[in-house]
Amino acid sequence: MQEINLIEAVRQAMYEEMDRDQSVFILGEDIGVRGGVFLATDGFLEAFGANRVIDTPISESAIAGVALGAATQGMRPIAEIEFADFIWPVFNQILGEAARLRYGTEGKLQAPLVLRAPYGGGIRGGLYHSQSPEAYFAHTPGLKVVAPSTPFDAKGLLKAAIRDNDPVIFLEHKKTYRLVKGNIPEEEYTLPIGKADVKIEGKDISLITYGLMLHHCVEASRSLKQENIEVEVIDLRTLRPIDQDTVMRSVMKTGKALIVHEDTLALGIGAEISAILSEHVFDSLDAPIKRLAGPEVPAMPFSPTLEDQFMVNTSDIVKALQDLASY
Amino acid sequence: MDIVLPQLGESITEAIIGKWMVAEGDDIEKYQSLVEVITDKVNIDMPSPVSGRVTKIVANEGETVLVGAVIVSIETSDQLDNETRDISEVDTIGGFVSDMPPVGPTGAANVPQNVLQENVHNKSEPKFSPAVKKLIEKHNIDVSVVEGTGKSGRITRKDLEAFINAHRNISDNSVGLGSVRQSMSPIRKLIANNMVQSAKEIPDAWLSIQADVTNLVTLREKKKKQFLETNGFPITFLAFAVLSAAKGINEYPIVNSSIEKDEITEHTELNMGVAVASSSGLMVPVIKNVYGMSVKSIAAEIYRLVGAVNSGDLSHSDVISGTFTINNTGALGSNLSKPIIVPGQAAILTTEKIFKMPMVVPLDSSRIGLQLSVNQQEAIEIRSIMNLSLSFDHRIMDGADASSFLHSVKKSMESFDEDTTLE
Repeated sequence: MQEINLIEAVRQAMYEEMDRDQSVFILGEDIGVRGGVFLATDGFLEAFGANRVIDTPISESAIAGVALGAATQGMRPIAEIEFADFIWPVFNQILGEAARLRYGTEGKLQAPLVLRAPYGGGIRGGLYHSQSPEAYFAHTPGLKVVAPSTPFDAKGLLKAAIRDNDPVIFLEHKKTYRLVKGNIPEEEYTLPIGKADVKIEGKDISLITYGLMLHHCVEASRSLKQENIEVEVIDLRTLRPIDQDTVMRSVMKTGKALIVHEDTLALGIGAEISAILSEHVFDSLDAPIKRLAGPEVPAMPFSPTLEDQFMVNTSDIVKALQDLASY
Repeated sequence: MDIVLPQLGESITEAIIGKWMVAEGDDIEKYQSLVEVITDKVNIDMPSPVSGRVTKIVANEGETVLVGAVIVSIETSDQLDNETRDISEVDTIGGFVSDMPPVGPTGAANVPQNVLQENVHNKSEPKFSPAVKKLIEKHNIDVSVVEGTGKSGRITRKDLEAFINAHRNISDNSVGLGSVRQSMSPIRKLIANNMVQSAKEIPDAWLSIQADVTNLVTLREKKKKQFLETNGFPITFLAFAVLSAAKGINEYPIVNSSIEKDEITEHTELNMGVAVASSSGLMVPVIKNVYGMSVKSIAAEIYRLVGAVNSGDLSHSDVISGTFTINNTGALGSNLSKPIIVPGQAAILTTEKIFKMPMVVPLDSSRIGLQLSVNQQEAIEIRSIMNLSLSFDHRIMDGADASSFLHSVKKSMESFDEDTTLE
């Protein structure tokens, strides 16, 4: 066992996969000489050389396009978008092309690429360094969208994403990079994409979340334990495909569900989970399905006061859980 | 149009809705089976009186419905035309709305608080979540005795689970092995309702008498084999009992009557119900117009009716219009029983198990060897004895009538002997 932070888990996953498989290479802004803006690829240039560690111009469209082209030719690129806020130019390459490639070519081509992107707020990043773009990608069939919340999950899932033959959007909450520490085994492992994880078991309320919010949910769950309310905390880990089975089983047990995400409310991941529950386990529901999410404003505010208002926090979650418990 | 539960027979005032053959939204042809209706211990497939589309099923399966009550709505094609016409006749001028709540100067949502609250409070029916609804239905729970601990006293899933567990524990403790609770079948419910009605309404009295059927036993023993071979059905003691009861009623017709308020109606026809145990419950098919029937024709009709009960082919006409009932409880091993009068009838007769007894009889020198004489006038002999029991409605008759009738039945049963003709 070793205790590491999340950025180290990401670094180890890429390093091990590049070491293991010559077709894996990385590209992105400042990832080579600089070692990545968060130092996720620190030392990679020295270890693997400039052919496999490519510093790119400031052009996200080109990064995604190069990755896609290489992927169709048998390579396994890991493209880094420096901040998820800059990810919009990749829409055409990723949603318009990569997601449809195998489908459109009747299986002749595929795009085994990983697009890594640090996302999320709470770091005083303002409008352009705080966004959560997961719902846009999770909407699109043909993609896989992974959003881990712990070092253990991040390492196992990133290695699985690199080996996966579908394009995977790998979202790393940048606030968790150094804030979240956890144990991982010494030996090599991967984790299955598409499988949620019950982080804490409970019988009273299902609390469904992912990313940074997982840690607020865990805190809230522990706090409610003292009030004799047992909250089951489910970390989705993968946002496409969603692990319906785990979510439904939990709510069949508890009869109540709270979905928490940092991203804004309308048409978000919570809406999908809510729809799945009301469609499939309606008879088990003992309270309205509740969502706690970012407010309906266009972007993360720069003012620290307003940013704190934007971000869902532990006490918000505790209050929502108490309401649900007493319903 | 609204389809009502039709009049299904005299004295039938209500029926239980069985299985619906159609669902809401189904198209249905005239005469197509609509619903199974359970009345008076028999099931009827009710055909649709019209063609059209089922818009609403009003009476649910298992529900008891009065004759004349709406059970389903069917939209006929005629109706569709009517509705179209109605729309075209809608008044386009309009008028003032009388119950409009006051609005503020902007016309926006400036509704006084009390109006909103009133509306909320008007919805006084309890709110059940899907999970709670499902548990209520599954366990058939009377929610009025469950205490809600949720918001505003809402009954939560946990409340119900605790309630179910508590009740399970109680029955576990009391009977040791746990118990099974299930709702009554429609037939069981019907029987239960009839029994309750009888017990509530009829002041019944009861008497019993012994009949010496030794000669009848000899007669039957002698003829039963050949009778079966010739006719294809058995000759039973019950057939003789039905014939004897008919004779008794002919003599004392008050036994074949019914009471309604201050009036007693003596029936000129005798339709005798015969109680038959079946897997789904007690059935009472009716032998119609018993007057004038021979033992053989009675036996034939009993055979047919019992067969119909066992095969489930009993028709509605087989179970209606009974005016008197006979129950061969002896077939179940009973030698004395107190039957409950069928509502609408005056009395019910049981024929009990035949058993052998030492009886004191007049000394008959021709029967030496069979008789044990204790003096010069009387002797003890082994005789076959059957008890006849009668419950009767004391409003309609007194003990004198009832016992006269019962004596008449006894006399008839004792009169059958080897010379009796069965035709």
